[in-house]
Amino acid sequence: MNKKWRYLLALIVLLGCFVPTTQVCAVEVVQSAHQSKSITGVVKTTSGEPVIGASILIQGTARGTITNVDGKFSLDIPQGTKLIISAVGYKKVELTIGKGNSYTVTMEEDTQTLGEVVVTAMGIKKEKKALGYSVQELKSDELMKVKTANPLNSLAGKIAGVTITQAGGAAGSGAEIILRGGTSLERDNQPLFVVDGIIYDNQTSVNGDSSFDGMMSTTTTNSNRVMDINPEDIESMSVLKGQAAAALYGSRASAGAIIITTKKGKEGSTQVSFSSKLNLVWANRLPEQQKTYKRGYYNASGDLQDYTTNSWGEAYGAKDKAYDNIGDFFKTGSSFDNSVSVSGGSKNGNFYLSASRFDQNGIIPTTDFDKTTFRFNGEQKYGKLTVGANIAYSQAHTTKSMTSAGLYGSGGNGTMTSVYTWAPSDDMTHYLNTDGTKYRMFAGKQDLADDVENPYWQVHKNSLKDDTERITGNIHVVYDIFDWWNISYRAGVDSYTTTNNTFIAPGGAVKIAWQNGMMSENEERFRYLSSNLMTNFKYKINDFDFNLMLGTSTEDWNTVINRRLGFNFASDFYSFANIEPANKSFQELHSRHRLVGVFGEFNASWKNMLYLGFTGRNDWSSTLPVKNRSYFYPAANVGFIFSELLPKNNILTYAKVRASVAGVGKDTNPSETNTYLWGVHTQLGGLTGLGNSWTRGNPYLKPERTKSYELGLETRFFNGRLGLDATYYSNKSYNQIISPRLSQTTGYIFCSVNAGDVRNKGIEVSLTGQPIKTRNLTWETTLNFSHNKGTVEKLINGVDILYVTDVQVGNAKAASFNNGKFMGISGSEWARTDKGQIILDKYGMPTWDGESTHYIGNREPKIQGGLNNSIQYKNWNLSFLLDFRLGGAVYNGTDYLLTNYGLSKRTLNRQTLTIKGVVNTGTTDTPVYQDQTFTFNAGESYDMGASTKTSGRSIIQDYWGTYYPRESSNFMTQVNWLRLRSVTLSYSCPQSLLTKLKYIKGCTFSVTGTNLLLLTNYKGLDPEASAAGSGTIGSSSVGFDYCGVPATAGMSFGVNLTF
Amino acid sequence: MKLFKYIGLCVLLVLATTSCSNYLDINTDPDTPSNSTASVQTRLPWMQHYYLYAQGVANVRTALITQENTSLGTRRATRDGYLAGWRGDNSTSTTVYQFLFIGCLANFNDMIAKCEEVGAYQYEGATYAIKAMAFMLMQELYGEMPYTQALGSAVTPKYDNGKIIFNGCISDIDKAIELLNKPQASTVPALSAGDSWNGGDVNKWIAMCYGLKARWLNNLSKKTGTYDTATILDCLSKAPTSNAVSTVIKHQDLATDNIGDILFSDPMYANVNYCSIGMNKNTRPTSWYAGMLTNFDNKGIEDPRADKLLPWRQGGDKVWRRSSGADQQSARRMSNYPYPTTYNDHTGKVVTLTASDGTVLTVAPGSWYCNTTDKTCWGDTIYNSFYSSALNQGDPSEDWTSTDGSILASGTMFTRPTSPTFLVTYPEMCFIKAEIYFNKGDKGTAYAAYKDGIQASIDLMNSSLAAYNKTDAQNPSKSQISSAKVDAFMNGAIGTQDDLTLGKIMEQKFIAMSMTSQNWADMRRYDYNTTAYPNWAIPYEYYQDNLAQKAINMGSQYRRWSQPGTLETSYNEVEWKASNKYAAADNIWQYPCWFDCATDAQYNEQMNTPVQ
Repeated sequence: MNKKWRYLLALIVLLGCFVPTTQVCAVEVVQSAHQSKSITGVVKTTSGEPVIGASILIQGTARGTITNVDGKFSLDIPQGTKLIISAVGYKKVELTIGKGNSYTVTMEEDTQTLGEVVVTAMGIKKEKKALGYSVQELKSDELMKVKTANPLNSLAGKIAGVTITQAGGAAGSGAEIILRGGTSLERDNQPLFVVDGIIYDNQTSVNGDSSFDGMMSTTTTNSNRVMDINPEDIESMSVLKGQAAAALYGSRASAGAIIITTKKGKEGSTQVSFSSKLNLVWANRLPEQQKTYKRGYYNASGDLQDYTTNSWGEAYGAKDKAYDNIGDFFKTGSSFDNSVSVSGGSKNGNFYLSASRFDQNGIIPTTDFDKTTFRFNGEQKYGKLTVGANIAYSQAHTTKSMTSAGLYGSGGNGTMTSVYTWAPSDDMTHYLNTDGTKYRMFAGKQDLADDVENPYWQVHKNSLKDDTERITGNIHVVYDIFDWWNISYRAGVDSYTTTNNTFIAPGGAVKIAWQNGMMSENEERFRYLSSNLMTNFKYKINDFDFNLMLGTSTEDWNTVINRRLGFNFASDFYSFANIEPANKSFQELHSRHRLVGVFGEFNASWKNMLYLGFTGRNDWSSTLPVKNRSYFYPAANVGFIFSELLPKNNILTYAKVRASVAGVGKDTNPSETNTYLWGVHTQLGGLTGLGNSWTRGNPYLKPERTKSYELGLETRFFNGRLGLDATYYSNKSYNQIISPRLSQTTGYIFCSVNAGDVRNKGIEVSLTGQPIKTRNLTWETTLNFSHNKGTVEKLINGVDILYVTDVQVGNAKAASFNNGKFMGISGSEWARTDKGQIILDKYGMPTWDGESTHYIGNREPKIQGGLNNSIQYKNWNLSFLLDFRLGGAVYNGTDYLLTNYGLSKRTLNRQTLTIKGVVNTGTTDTPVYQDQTFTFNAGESYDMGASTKTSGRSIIQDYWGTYYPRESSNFMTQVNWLRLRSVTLSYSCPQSLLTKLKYIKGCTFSVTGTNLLLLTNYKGLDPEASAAGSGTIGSSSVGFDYCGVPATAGMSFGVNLTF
Repeated sequence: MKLFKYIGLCVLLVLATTSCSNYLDINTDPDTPSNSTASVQTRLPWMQHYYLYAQGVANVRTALITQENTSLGTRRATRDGYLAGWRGDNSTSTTVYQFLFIGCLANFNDMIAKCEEVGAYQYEGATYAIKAMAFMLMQELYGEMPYTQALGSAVTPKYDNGKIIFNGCISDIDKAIELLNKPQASTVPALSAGDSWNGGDVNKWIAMCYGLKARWLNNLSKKTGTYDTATILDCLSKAPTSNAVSTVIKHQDLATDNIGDILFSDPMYANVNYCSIGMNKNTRPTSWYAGMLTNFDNKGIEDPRADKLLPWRQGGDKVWRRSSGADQQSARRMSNYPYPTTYNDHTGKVVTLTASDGTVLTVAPGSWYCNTTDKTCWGDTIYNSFYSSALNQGDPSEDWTSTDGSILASGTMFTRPTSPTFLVTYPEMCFIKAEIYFNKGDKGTAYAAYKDGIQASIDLMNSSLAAYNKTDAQNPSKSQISSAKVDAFMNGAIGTQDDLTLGKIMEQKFIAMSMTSQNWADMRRYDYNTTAYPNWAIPYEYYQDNLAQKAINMGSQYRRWSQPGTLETSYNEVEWKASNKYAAADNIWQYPCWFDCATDAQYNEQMNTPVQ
């Protein structure tokens, strides 16, 4: 770890550089002070205890002071000045200075934080207690505790019912988020992201196409686009888990929504914040290889052969070396993360300006990820009119490696597959000859296209890159016509261009056409425009409060994909210009989508006790047939704080029940209602022929619908020291839009149809407590856990299994089963008798029915959750987050591959193989099963039905390579884990020190460890895995661990400064 | 007042955002042309191709059932082996239905809409005719099929019984005739711009439709009461009355025809029988079929068409040898009979084979042999395949030519890429007439029609062979038929009015209609009886094969195909099972289609819902 210290040193040097420049930025707003007088005061609690560190601020300025250990303060201020006194855990107090010189302020405890305001759908702020559905919000301080480049990862383990799956540890690789299980069989199930009122695209684009340049979701890693946000800019993330909470988003609400609000400048002095972080990461877990047997295999006659990449060979001799090819390949990754912001404001205006730079070197040689962001948020008031703008610009670059699949149809292999299966008896670093030419293990024995590409060649010679430039922003206007009526308008844009470059160097182990080099470029231009008008009415009469909101929005998505490919470079210069026209091809694809919505919300409350809310939205989508493109979504919710009816007591402080019902949905993909033609085919007689393609457009398509119910209970005990929030929900998504194979009597093979229901039922529980709360020591803890059960029913007859990814490992595949599990795994099974005995053939090998469509497991965990802790001792804070999961199958595809190669430790016993089962001694129609045990010894030969006897070595090898994987569940584990996802120790400089440093208002140092501990029964890589990455539709590839880039653990060191 | 102004402003804003209804009309892919853009003259040849392809597959597969052809003994356990051995196997069933629905009929609704939009009535008539042909073919093969709900919004269309499909096809062919008679708008492209069958000749189209109607109505010959000979004879008067108005499709072999169709990538210009039988070397003529050609009615006079319908080949000696017919009654069918043949063209190399009893076979260069040590197979070199080479397969010509210049396979009348497709022809009409009058007892009219039919068939083949004359005069399979041979046959073999039998009529029809699925329909109408088909017998291996007898029980006959496996049986499972009581039964193969039942009551025995 010598390297890490070097980085730390570099960080300190860097900090030194920043100090003089930031000093210039700090501006003090100086107020004139006429006729000042000295006053003193003391701030106490209702029980008379002094409040230490309470902030005393002169209203309208940034000037003020804080109370000392006795709760006392003094100031020189004129009479009539208003002071705002605030302290964490207490309600704010206002004090106007009169004639007196000495004041006593009593602060009421705000233990219940009942006044908590959260951001709900359409950016509407509401008191949490008024809601009839579950909303959880994370504020910036919680998000920044363990800062990651991807804001999604900051949510992991912190909110019940939120599942985050990080797709491996590659630099720049994305994560997937699912709220309460997926609702769609073949559509994206990730929630809608909204940043400052504008929908923010979060797709994981696999730019390129398997039929064009061989690119697949399993070829490499891709970012999810929420990564373009600078996490430091986020003020809060509000998670609208249920459909009722997100109902105002109508067609886009069925997977829930995450509302991100970015920071605003605060009234007062201009503030400069700077944070810097150094992060070091290393592979968390690596696959284990056996190092007892060398590369080679035994043929049926028992002769050793070495023309193989498998490791079924002879045992290592004393002089043989077993290389740690895997361990040597991965290195320690590092990242530098710096960000700076300037913010400020006056009574009528505020601004926030930020810049950040994230620089990461991946754990795979040559891979990296960097990201640069800028943001400006500003707002200005003119009387009743407020205008504002938020603009963000970002650039992201990734240099990647291949993962499991390689490029489709190109030969060669994925980098990770090769790394994990490279025989330890060979030195993987030997990829070049001494003269610099390519080293080929089987030169002369096979064609270049049949070689397994050396991973070092892949990462050093070839390249896979992506590059994204994005601008997002909005302008907004709010006009408060009367205090009971306002109108607001917001127009926004989300525009990015993401370009993928693939380069295969000449000499690669790829298909012949590409052996003299190939390059492809895929450019996706994404543009989203939206316009949103809302008006809000308030009315209060006696104990009743009424609120009516009406609004309309128009949204427009436009995507253009351009693909270019060329191969066979004319000379050693790699550009499209250096390729003959005949070897170049291009493709252009357009996709357009528009949505118009009209929505409204009516809320009524009585005595701050009973809350009712109704929402309705009608959407018109361009993607649906004209007669079905208008559809209405209603929702209603009720919240009842029944503790208001109970006498005041010290046990049950607060209790609320809530219930909601909602209907939301999804429209479909563009251009699915029309049928398109095949390309032109010349027919008999030279006539030009055109005909319909085998995919039918569906002019009858209806939107997918989700009906959901939610019941919840919120309670606080012992003046808020203990809280319980529990939710039960049930939803049914019907009219699923799927594209299965159909009866061809329709005239077509494929067609998007409405069929099938997905049901999700689940509970979420969140317990919060403050076990310790003294003057110097506070321990806050939150335990959350959830359970979800996703099932599928009513698929059209003939469609019993839906596959949504191209991830197939061995015979196992991610699959949704009709009348079965949404997140199932299909696979093959050994044939068994009714009693469960394995049926063997007469030679002793397990038999099977040749089908790989059996249900073998469910990827959905039984329970998952997290325990989040924050222990504050004076200026020290220790936070740690444990997350856990019980149950849920993970398919260890990596081990399947290693087993096939004779590299898995499970293949270590090669001297004897004992197979127990039954053999049918009757006929096929009337079987008679007899128990039998077969033993095969390496040194002997057996009758296996061939004309000559088969060597035991060869039989044992075949058993592991062929027969054993036919029981797919041999590689499946019901996974439990307990993970120390993060631990952070931070120290904030005391106020006493800061007052001495003129310009520094805050200073925090932190050390964070991530993934330092993982206790699990899973034997492979990190069980949090998704072989096809983050953007997969339907039940996704979560639960498939197949030759991904290993997840990482890391340590980071950070500093935050405020000026 | 101010308040009203604001409300007014709001209303305006809402209107402004919702008033543009065409704002949402952007759901058409700007990159790929959609179905509404295809013109009538581009769709018609497309539909014609896929209909023909399906018909070609049906022709070749049913010709194995009727024992016109047989499969190599070594391929007994393949689809063609099962067909030839009367073992119902659902590998048979998919292709025809797939090409008809996916390739051809998927275009029907859009084509009709376009025709009506532009007033292209002749195109519309042709389209209705193709639809009727497609469903009639499926009715004859599968018995039941989704019809009224097919090609619509239903994703699991209900099946219709054979009667509904049959009557629907009759009404569609009437509609086709009506439309073909209707003048097209002057702005519409002429039918010739999109017709690859009749070159836009409307009269031929109309004759073809009447011919089809006559053929189909005649297929109801078992149904006393329903069988309406008066209507059939009326149709025959409007159907092709000479070879000149017959629908004979000319095909081409082009080196550039290698892009391929969308389903199998087979050539677009070539004869479709070629795609199914001429591309492989696995099929042989049977002795029953060869016997009809060489010894009709035991007269010992060879049919002049025999040379054209049986395949030929040369060896190194350049002697032309015509294939014999393999005996479908031979016990050797269970032991690899007939055996595949190999040509030893390795100059100077002798091949030696040693049988288990020590017998040695020496194969000189330039000769044919069966590459097996089983000496009982060594004589199987007398059987030739229907293989034909093709320019679009990268071969220099249609004739499979060896390096020594020998022609190793000649192809036949109906199996070369350039072979014509006799879709609806005058000879067939003659035989329908002959059959009707014979069954009525009017032997005189029957004989005249019978004789016309044979002469027309010979003439039609001869005129098709004219295209080969210049280059292939030496190839006995392609040369013109000599009038001497014709005369000898017409005068000596076909007999007289007095000795006319149903068998002669049906066998001559079988020859004229070689390699068409109509022959199977005819055979089923006559329950395969030897009155109609003298010397015909169920293939030997059927009696040896338990599984064949499971699919077609002993005493029953091969009467239909099962529904396509997987595609229909799993994706439309519920409707498939409801289509016929025995739909999922092993022996579905023995249940007659509606046209093949004497009465509705007989058909109803299979139906869950009785036919009205």
